[in-house]
Amino acid sequence: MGDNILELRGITKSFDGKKVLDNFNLEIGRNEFITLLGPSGCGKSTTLRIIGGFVWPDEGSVLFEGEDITKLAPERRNVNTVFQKYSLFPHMNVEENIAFGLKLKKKSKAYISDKIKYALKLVNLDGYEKRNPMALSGGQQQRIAIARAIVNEPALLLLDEPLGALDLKLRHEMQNELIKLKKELGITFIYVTHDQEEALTMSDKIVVMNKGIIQQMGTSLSIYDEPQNAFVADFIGESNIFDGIMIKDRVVQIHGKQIDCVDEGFGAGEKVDVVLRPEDVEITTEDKGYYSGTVTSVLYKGAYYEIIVLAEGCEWKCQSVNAPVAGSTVGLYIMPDNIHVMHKPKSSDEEIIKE
Amino acid sequence: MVRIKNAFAKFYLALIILFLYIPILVLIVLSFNSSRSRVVWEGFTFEWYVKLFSNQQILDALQTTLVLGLVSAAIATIIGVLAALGIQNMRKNGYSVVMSITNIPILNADIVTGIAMMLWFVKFLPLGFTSVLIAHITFGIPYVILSVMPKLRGMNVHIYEAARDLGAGSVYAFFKIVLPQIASGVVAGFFMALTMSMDDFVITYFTKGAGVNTLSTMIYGEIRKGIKPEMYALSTIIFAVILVILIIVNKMSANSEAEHMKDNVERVR
Amino acid sequence: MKKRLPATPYLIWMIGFVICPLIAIAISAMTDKEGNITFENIFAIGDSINGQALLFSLAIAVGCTVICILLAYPTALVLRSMKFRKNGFTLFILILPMWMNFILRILAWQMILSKNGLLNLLLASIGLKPLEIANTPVALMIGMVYDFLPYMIMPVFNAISDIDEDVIDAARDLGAGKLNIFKKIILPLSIPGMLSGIVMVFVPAMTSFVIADILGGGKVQLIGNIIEQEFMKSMNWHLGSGLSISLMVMVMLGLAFTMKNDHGERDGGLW
Repeated sequence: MGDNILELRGITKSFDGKKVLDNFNLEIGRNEFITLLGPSGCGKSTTLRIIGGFVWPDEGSVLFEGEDITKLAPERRNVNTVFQKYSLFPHMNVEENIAFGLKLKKKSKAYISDKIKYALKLVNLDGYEKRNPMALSGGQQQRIAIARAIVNEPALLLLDEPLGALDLKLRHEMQNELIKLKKELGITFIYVTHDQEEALTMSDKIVVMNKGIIQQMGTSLSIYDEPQNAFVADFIGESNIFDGIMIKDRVVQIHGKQIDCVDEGFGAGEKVDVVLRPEDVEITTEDKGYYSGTVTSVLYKGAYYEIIVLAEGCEWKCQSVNAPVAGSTVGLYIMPDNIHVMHKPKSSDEEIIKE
Repeated sequence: MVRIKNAFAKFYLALIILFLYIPILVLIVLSFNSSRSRVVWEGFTFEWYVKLFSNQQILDALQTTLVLGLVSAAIATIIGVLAALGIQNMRKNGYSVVMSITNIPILNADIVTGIAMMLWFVKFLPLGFTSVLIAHITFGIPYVILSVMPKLRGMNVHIYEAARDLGAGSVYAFFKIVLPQIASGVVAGFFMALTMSMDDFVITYFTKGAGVNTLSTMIYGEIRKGIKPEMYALSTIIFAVILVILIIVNKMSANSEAEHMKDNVERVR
Repeated sequence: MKKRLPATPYLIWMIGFVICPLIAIAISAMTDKEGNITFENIFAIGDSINGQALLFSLAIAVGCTVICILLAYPTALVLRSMKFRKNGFTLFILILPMWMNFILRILAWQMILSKNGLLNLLLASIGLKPLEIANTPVALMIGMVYDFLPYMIMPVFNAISDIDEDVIDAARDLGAGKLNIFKKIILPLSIPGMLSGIVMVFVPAMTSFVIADILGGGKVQLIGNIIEQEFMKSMNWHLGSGLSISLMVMVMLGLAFTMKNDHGERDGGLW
């Protein structure tokens, strides 16, 4: 038994002949906050349901604390889930909802009532014991669902897009509370979301998924700054993605211009994808830029301007704190270490990633 | 283990369906039985189907039943849809009072409803087709309201307002915007009212007076003399027609639902 | 104000043909042939013959309701497990029999259950003794359960299929096995459906007279049969009205009691 609390080995799962997960491997360390991130249909929820025990994989195994639990019923796992639609029991009040799991475990009355108090305090809903959950707001219901799960002291808490139905402000609040909660409980969180911002704010580790395959795994910083392929680059944050050709180490040709970069190890003449983050495309005077183009739109976004420049027949997304005049001609410059060069997908499997 | 349980579940369902359909099978078989006796099978015949069309008494009762069913369901649908529209806009108290009244014909015993109507009708109306028609409309309306209300509630009210905003009159907006949205509820309500009218015996029995007969009351009157086999033939025909209609409707709605699902999936992508 | 206008024809209709008839029957019940006010007809339900018929009807109706629940509940569970939708196949299967004439269907049961009927033919063919259930309360009960079962399956199935799969998953997640899921989730959540089923079955079972007429062979008297005879044979409308009103009030009280009980239970917490 290593330091991993959970391991997924070679998981394959199809629904109606369609592969949702394909030879999926994942190791989750103790006390991590790990986020499965991807567009809908990427297999992230299925992964969570396999860990929860609601779905059995066609192939592969699930190891929990080194023990094979692949076909163990959900009610026998030391894992609890916070469901997307809260799924509170509508015929029970808040207290009864939270006590559900503890009563099944035949805990004493005193223990249960202590736990309920503690959990409600933790989710900032003290005094809500006798309320009817259906009469509470979405955010409050979500907190009850979290309280209901954590009183069982699971080693692993699964959260399936728990904030998906909340409005933006509430979502930010809950994100902070979840991080706090995670610290207090000291247990492993596996979080599923399609919201990249949510993933970047909360997680220790992010697993970017698409078409049932892991695209990239790493910390928020590494995923944002060093996307490994065009899908990740496109999915995480905004980016300009162009076709390029590697001339030699540290030089890439984009739109017919050879530009200095920091990437090495590509074959000379290899076709590559080049990713440029909007904040990395600098707007300057015509003579200082690699390219010149016309500003087609300038939108004020609060902290910065979003600027679209038409150059070399492509639209370039740029961000800047200074606004150029729409219609003016500007130069575009990119610093060498802000250029991300990636291999083009080779196999057809990878091809679908791009889409 | 799972498979055995599954098989058992299917077997149980089959038994329940058999229980619900066995009398119907018996009646269908009897309609082809050349014996007039009830249980002895004496060979296959179409005789009763042929004779049916020369039995004026049965044809009259059939006509009464059909006209009664269609007219009462149509009127009930019109009144019921309008009522649902109005009730939808009522405030809480008015709403609950009106809905309680709506539930009376459904909850009250048929025999009490029938007798009460008869006692009321005799004060100003000779019992006959008209009194039965009024009675059938009365117990049909609640089914229409109960089918239409959920659709109205599920409808986006703003689209009606949007139509008015764009210059549609209230009548035009109703037919062009609201009605298509609640159409499935309206059809279901009409169909429920029709079914209840065709299936009713008790209320018709008390409100019909002499001279008028629906198929139900006619059969009831013949029990002691013995049922004419033509009646089995007629029931089988009605049953078969409805079966075909329901299968077609089911297929169509299943198809449109599948289309709808596909659209949604596309949109998500 | 204007938006409530479309309900006007309906309100007039319901006052004219639901409320007025109820007033008419109440007046008829509280008067005698000379038009004097009397409560004799209303209290006549306590007479030995009427009272006996009432108690017998009550027993039959309760029995019929219980049997319907016992048959309908597993049916609804099976339908849910087979993932049938609420309005498709299930509604179709349950509504379709109504299009075979109701009285003919009951007559068919008479043919099945009679002394030389299909059931006994079948029993004889496998070497069993014939059953003598024709014209007994058993035959009556079979006919009633047959006629009312769809009205129980429908609401129970609706309630059970409305239970979100996620809620059941949540219960499993928190450690509930199959038995506990049923006891603590499915059963309590299906109670409202069961209650409407009880209303839909109990009321007609308590007040029916046609089924008893056909399957009871004149030997079984329900309160419904007595009321029908007062109108159609004895021509004592005032007595018939009185019995009807008493019956109606009793049924309504019974239902109100059932509903109230449920409410109390829910407040106290079902588990």
